[in-house]
Amino acid sequence: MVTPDPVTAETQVTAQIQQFYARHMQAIDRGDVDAWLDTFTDDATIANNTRPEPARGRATIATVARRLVADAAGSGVVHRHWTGMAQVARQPDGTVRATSYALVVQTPGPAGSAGPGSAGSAAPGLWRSTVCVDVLVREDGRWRIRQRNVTHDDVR
Amino acid sequence: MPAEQSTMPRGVDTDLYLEIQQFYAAQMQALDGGDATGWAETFTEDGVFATNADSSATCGRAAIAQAAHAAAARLAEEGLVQRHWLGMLDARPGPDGGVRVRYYALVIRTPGGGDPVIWRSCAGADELVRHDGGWLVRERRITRDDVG
Repeated sequence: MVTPDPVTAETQVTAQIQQFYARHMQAIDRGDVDAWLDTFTDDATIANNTRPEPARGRATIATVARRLVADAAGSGVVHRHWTGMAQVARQPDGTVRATSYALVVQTPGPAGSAGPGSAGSAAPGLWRSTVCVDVLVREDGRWRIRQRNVTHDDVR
Repeated sequence: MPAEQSTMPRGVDTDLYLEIQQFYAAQMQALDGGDATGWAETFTEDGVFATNADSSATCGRAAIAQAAHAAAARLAEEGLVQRHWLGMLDARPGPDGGVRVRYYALVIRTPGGGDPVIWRSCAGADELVRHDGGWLVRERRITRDDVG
């Protein structure tokens, strides 16, 4: 039996970042805003190409997130954020710059149909395709997003 | 919400995370390849497969294999090829050396000569247990996004 190579720091960080995004995206998709906010630093900023001015700080991000979650719940749709193709670059200051693709799969959901156990009529579809650039910092043994910049592919 | 007070549990180590990704790749390729027996053998003997579309779960390897056989036959009859994509794995240490994994799944269906479509979007929760140096599913709960 061959002794396996030790896991390099590079590989370890890449796997940690993959796990980070799984939790981060699952939190917002199930509407758990508190768990999602806990994946940002206090002074985090979020910017995207639809809004020039970034949201600054957890409190502002919280307000926006709660509104978006309420809107989605009200319309009965289910969103699933899939991230992949992540380039994980460790920076000299110990932060990580992760550039990923993110797809949002939208399923209309059973709203308005016959109640629990009933199936919706419409198929899932791709709702958004984006590029997400995050700067992540290691705090207290875990990763948090300090800076996010999202580019929506449909916005020119 | 100060950082120090975070109670979010740790994930699993890198090699375990990669191992679990490999487990799912093999398991889904067995299912999509029509290997119902091989698929069923990725569950424990008393393994459970439950979904929110069905009030009663499929229990035990024999029943899981039978359901997969039937599903493969239906797909073949309709001329459809199915591919399960699992991703966004959130794996956490579970009891007795096991692992709890929460993930997303897409089911892509392609008709002969036609365009692929996303047939289903789901979230899954698995309880995995160690067996012979590999993993087995003791319990799987699938939540289909189109089902209330």
